[in-house]
Amino acid sequence: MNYRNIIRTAIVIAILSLAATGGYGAETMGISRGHDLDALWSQAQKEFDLSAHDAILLLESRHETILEGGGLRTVVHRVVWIGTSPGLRDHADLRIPWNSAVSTFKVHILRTWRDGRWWPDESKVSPTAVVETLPGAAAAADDYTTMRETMLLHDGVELPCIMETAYEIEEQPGRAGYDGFFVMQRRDPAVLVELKINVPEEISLQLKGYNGALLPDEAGDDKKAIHIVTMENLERLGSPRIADPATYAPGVAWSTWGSWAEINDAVMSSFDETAVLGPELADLIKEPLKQEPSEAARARKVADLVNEYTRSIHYDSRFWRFSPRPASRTYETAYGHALDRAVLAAAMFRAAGFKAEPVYVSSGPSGTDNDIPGLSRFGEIRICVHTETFRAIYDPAEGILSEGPRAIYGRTAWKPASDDAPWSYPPLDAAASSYDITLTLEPDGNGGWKGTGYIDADGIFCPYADMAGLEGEMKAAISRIANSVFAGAEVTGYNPEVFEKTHVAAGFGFTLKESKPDDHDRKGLTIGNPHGGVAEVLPDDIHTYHAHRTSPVILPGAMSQTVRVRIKACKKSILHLPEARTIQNEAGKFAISVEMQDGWVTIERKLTIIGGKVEPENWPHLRALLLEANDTAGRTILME
Amino acid sequence: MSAIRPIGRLSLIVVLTLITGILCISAVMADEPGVPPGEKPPADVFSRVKDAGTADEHEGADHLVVFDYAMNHMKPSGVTYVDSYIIYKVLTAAGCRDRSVLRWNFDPQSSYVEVREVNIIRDGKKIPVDVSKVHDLPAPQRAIYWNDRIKTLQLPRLEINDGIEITVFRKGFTYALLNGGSSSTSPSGAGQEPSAQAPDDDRYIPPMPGEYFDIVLFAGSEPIIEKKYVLSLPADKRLHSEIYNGPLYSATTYTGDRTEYSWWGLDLPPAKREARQPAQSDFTAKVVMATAESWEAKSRWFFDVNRDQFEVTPEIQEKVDEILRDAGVSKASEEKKAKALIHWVAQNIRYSGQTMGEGEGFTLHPAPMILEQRSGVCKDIAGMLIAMMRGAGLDSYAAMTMAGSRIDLVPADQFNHCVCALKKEDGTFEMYDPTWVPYNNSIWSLLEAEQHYLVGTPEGEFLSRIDYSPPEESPLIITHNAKMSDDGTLEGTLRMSGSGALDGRLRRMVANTRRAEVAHTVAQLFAHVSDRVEGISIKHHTPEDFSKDMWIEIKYRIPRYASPIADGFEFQSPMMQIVLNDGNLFRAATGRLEKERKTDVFLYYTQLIEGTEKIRLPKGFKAVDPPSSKKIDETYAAFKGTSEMDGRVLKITQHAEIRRRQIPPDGYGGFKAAVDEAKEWGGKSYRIEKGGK
Repeated sequence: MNYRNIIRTAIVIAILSLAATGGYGAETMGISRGHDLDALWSQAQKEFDLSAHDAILLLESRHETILEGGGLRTVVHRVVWIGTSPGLRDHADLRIPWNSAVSTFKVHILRTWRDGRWWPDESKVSPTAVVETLPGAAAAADDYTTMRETMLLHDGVELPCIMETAYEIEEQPGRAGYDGFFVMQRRDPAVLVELKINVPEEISLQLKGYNGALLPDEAGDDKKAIHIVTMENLERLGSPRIADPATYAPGVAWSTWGSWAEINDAVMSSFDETAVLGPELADLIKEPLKQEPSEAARARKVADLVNEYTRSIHYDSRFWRFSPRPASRTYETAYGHALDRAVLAAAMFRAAGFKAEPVYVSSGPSGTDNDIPGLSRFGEIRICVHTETFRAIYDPAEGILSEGPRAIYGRTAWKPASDDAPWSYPPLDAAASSYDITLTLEPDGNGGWKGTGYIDADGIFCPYADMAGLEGEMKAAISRIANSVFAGAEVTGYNPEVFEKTHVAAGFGFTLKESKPDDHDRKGLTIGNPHGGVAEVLPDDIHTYHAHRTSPVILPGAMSQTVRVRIKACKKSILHLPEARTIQNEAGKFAISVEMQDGWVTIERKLTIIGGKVEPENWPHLRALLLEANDTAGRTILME
Repeated sequence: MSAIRPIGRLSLIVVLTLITGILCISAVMADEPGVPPGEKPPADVFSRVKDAGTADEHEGADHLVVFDYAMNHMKPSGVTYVDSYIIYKVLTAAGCRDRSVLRWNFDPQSSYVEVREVNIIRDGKKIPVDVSKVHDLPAPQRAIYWNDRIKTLQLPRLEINDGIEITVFRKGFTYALLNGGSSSTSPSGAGQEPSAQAPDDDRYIPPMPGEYFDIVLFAGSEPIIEKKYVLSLPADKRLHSEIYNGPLYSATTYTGDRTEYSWWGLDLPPAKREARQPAQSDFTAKVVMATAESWEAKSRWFFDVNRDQFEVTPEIQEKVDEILRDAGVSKASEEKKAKALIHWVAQNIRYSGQTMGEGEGFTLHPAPMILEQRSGVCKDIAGMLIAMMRGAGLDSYAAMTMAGSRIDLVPADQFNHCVCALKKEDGTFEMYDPTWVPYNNSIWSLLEAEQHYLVGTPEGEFLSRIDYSPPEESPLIITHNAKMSDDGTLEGTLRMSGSGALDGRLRRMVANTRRAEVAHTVAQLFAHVSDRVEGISIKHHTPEDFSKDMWIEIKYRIPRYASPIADGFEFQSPMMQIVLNDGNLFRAATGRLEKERKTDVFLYYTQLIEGTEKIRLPKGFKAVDPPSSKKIDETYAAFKGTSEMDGRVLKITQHAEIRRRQIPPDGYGGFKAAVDEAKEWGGKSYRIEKGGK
């Protein structure tokens, strides 16, 4: 090496060292579990600007090891550079859930890099910084008190600083298979994200990458023993956060299950074994069920009884996925998480003459596919309750029986006992859901209005679940709808024309009292959004005040909503009517038409949304439709 | 807020016989001859459960407390044995479901809990529950991680009208107001000694040895048929006690070597629940008791137990010098140095409390430990400031206070919070609370105005109180300048600045929002104006800079904001929509106001809002009859709104005052009138027309 090269090398080293240590002193963080932390920090400073973020992950590593003889060891290793109060809030105190009945928990690293050194110590974990706690939900559920939430509390945190955590959860053997879905993109930008999976040679591992996550064979690693998927310099997940970021973010599905049938065996054997009523409980429910006059009423009564007998413990029941408690134990203890209440409910539904089988529903629209067998992207268990003439979905966590398909509309679902693989509802080629309301008003002679209405709704809008029942449910549901379009409307009579699980049509009569004059001494009518309509079935992450978003919108399907209002009024008494307008773009169409004929004003407001996945760049189109549909002038009628 | 209050409890051996008698009275006794006509036989568990009534007699209650008896036997050392005995009755199916697990919270560092007997009372029989199945577990914990424990016991399936009879022995003391598990849920036996497994008494001597205190509430979330609290003290102990917030029965008696005090209540309704209440101890019947001689004695004790906790180590000194140097106040006044130090502590010691084991509670963690951990609860954060102030040559002391509720005059430990007191040259104290001022340009949060406090000093201090803070000390000043184009589009700049309590609200709106979400958060603020908002840009004072009060300036555009209606445009005041719909900006206006109140409304701080909005209208347009609000000027709140045209500019104003942080029921009507008028003003529709009127 000549003199010039030596000088050049020295300068490069000096620059790198300075960059790596920044304002924190001359020491280096060193190598940790195979990762050069200084190099990662240096890369973070090159690729990201901390002043624009709350935190930057230098490393997010998840290492899954299927153990010889069964069992699963999960090691999480995270190194994060934080710069703001929200960054500190997210990363300084970590709450790690694990089940001490079947797992062990170890902390390997818990330290903070600040002022050129590790706090409290380079290698020792402070004994007061690891605190075992009980989940709040388990404090009133004695059988679940094996759950732990161990707190990992970082010492020495001052903004900015770097925090490193590594911990391990080892689950005992006992499960027939394992699966997972790891979203590589995180809530904060990341320099290096890796997923490692070790499996014994005799176990076959299935892997699939989504949205740009490259699989190990493509990356050239040894596929037999260890599978490593890595991604570098990843931007943060989009905003707002959506129900299932895996629908768009790079991620990896993995599974040791050979097929969906294997999962079925594991789920159903434990489920059916426990979903049995003891004689005492069977006797107990016999009398109340005997009083119910119909199948549907009996099913509703079972749902009521589960709520009456047990508290719902809102804690992730996936910690017990293949080991539910017997139905009799759930009844005896008077509480249950979703799985245990599902087992109790299934036993009771079966005793009442229904078929009752577990159904898993994706946590968001378009949530999963069939290639890799696994339950990771499904939410809490539900129960499909049916006979030849009745069908409903029971949500054990909320204790709600939903008749009709609304509970699974736009989702992926799987009934292990009867489906070979998950399926989407409705099928991809299904027609758009439609919601059509017509209201006709004429003066009642006393300053108010009388009128008739007609609702015709199907698909996701179908109000069957709200209307079915024996205690005035239909009138209440129609009243809610009439009231939502014209506040204060009182339904005087109603009659269904079509009353099916997926399609309801009904006519009704209503009255509307004289409205008070507004600030400008006028009387008016405002056309509201219909109850159960588009505004209520859109994903919760849709906020039309967001001018831009960086996450896509995943819609539950195509949809069309028409609100048609006919008002008998003489032209000269009308001070304001909505203006006819049409807006059409890549997301759909919104149109207002106004017609005056023979003393009748007809206003039609029609919103059509194409559905599917709306990419962030197309959000302004969807937003434009929704804003137009909500515009005050377009829904206001003013009269003298 | 952290807990610093130990509670002592004892049992009285003398009444062993009496209690045992109560417990052993059987149904048989009622049938014994000799009870005069018209007299009831002595109550037993069966008659108590039976006589407690059914769901029909206790509307809305799923269960009730039939009998709650606590016998507190204080030993000369201050260690307290508590025999507690409680009977519940379940009245409904929901009660059967919801009472299926019993729980006892405790801190093993300071108290011992032994569940001695649990029975289900059904059909005149006792069904024993196996107490060997009690689980001893880590407690749920959040923010304070002192390794608290919880004991749980699963009951067999309950039936409507079952009784649950529970006998528990406790000893030691607990940190009140920490986790809510305490005397009212802990049942009793009869002056029994602890089991062989119980650790020695020495471990449970309270922080103030030889002293006892308690605050006993005589109301809960369910009806109580009878609750009795008995305290037995050695004869040489003297007791201050007082009943607050309602009538109770009481008695005092003595034997040769002990004095016994009793308080009891009958047919106690559940505590009234209303939104935004002060702490329950402020309005339900309670007994406050203490053996401590005086507040001055408590002050001296508090100083003594913490005198060694504020060591200024070289590391602390180095940090103090660095903070003062960086702030440019190394040679400045005490006030400036103290301000630099409190904001460093508030910003850099996060609220997350690790335990130091023995000595928890009133003993502040050593400052060097906190400097290293950079985290702690209120006492640790206060302790860090005290040490740093001392390192800067300031005369600082630890003090105790009760955040969110009052302290009554009995010198019991009615504290839930620890703060710092700076002694000034004239001998007075200036109070500093670093725990409550992260992202707040105050040294003492105005959310803690009118709060009592006790400074620990060698001389001993009396209970003091923070001054009333008038609304002018927490103003929110809003100016909104906008112009409307002839298609109704509004474009403008909204500027909000605040002092006192409102400084903190504004700072946190920025500092607690993820950086990438700031625009979305501001858009959410504007959503109450219009979802069409776009083009948001935000400027603000740096939240970490405490040299000035906070301000936020937002530029925005709202296409077609005003609705084209009947040859004009109509709109509401954007300023009012923003202020009325965000609890950070106008706390009293968010949330529902009931028609009337039985308990105080607790708002934490007073507030002034001065808002001026100027909207330049499209050329040729004028507002039609710009309105004014009613002028409301009540004792506890005021409101006035105006609007007028000034050339092409529509000027809208609002002036609101919330004059007390706590509104009593008899002042609620006036308070509500002012807030309702503000809401009414916010709902006004402005109409502009070409040519105007």
